[in-house]
Amino acid sequence: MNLMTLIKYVGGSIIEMPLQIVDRQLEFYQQRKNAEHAQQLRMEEASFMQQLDMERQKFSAELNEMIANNEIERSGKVVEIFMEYQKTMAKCTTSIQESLGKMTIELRRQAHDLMEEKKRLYYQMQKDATNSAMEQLKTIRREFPEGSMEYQIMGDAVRAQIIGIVENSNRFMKVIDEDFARMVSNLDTISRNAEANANQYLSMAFGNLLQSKFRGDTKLLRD
Amino acid sequence: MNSQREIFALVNFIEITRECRRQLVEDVLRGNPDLFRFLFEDKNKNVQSLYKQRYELKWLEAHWLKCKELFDNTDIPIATRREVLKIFLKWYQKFVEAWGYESADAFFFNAEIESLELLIDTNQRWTAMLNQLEMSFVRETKLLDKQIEEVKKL
Repeated sequence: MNLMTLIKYVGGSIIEMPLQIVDRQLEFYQQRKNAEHAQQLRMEEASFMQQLDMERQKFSAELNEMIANNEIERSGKVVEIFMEYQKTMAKCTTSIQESLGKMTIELRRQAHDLMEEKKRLYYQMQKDATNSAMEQLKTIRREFPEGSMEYQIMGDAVRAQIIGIVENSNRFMKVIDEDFARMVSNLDTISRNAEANANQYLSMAFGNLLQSKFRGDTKLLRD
Repeated sequence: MNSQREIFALVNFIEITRECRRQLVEDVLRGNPDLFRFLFEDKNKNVQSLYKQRYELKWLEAHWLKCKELFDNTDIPIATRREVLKIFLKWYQKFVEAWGYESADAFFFNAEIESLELLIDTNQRWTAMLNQLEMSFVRETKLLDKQIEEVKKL
C-alpha cells in the first residue's frame, strides 16, 4: 500500500481536499495562462494582419505609382512616335506627290507632243494633197477649154477630191482630239491608282514600323 | 546588324544585278523590240524616247521584282527578310537615283510603264490612221491623173 492509499484510508479527505483545490487552482491558472496566450496570439495576429494590410497598401501604392510612371513614359513615347510617324509620313507623301505630279506632267507633255507631231504630219500630208489637186486643176484648165463638158466633169472631180481632203481632215482631227482626251483621262486614272497604292503601301509600312516601336523594337526606325 | 544577314543580302544583290546586266546585254544582242525601235526604227525623237523610257523602267523594275522573288521565298526567316529588305531598299534608292530618277519615282515605275504603253498604243493607232489617209490621198491623186489622161485621149 502506498502512502496516498494509506492517507485516503485513514481519513484522506482532509488531505485530499487541499490537493483538489491545488488541482483546481492549477487548472484555473493554466486556463488563465491559455487565455492570456490566446489573447496574445490574437493580438499578435491582429497586429500582423494590420502590418500586412499596411504593407499591401504600401506595395499597391508603389505599384500604382510605378504603373502611372510607366504610363506617362509610355504616353510620352507614343506621342514622340506619332510625331515622328507624322513627319516621316508627311515627308514621304510630299515626295511621292511631287514625283507623281512630275510624272503626270511629263506624260501629258509627251502625249501632247505626240499629238502635235501627228497633226504636223497630217497638215503636211494635207498640204501635199491640196497642192496636187491644185496642179490637177491647172492641168484641166490648160488641157480642156473652159465651159466644155470635160472641163466641167474634171473640175467637179478635183473639187470632190478637195472636199474629201477637208472631210478627212475634220475626221482625223476629231479622232485625234477624242483619243487625246481619253488618253489624258486614262493617264489620270493610272496616276490616281498609283497614288492610292503608294499611300496604302506607306500606311502599311509605317503601321508595321509603329507596331515594332510599340513592341520596343526601336532599332528598326533608327536604322 | 547581323553580319550573316548582311552577307546573305549582299551576295543575293550581286547576283540580281549580275542577272539584270546579263539580260541587258542579251536584249542588245538579240534585238529587244523596244531597244530596236529606240536605236534603229522610229526616227521620231518623241516616239524613240517612249520606247527607251519603257525599256529603262522595265529594266530598273526587274531589279525590284527579282528581289521580291527572293523575299517570297518562304524558307528565309522573317527577321532575315526584313533585314534584307532594309539593305536592299537603301541600295535600290541609290541605284535609281544614279539613273537620274528621284527615289520616290520607284513607287510609280509600274504606273509609268502602263502610261507609256498607253501613249505608245495611241501613237501606233494614229500612225496607222495617218498611213491610211496618206494611201487614200495618193490613190485619189493617181485615179484623178489617170482620169484626166483618159479624158484627154477622147
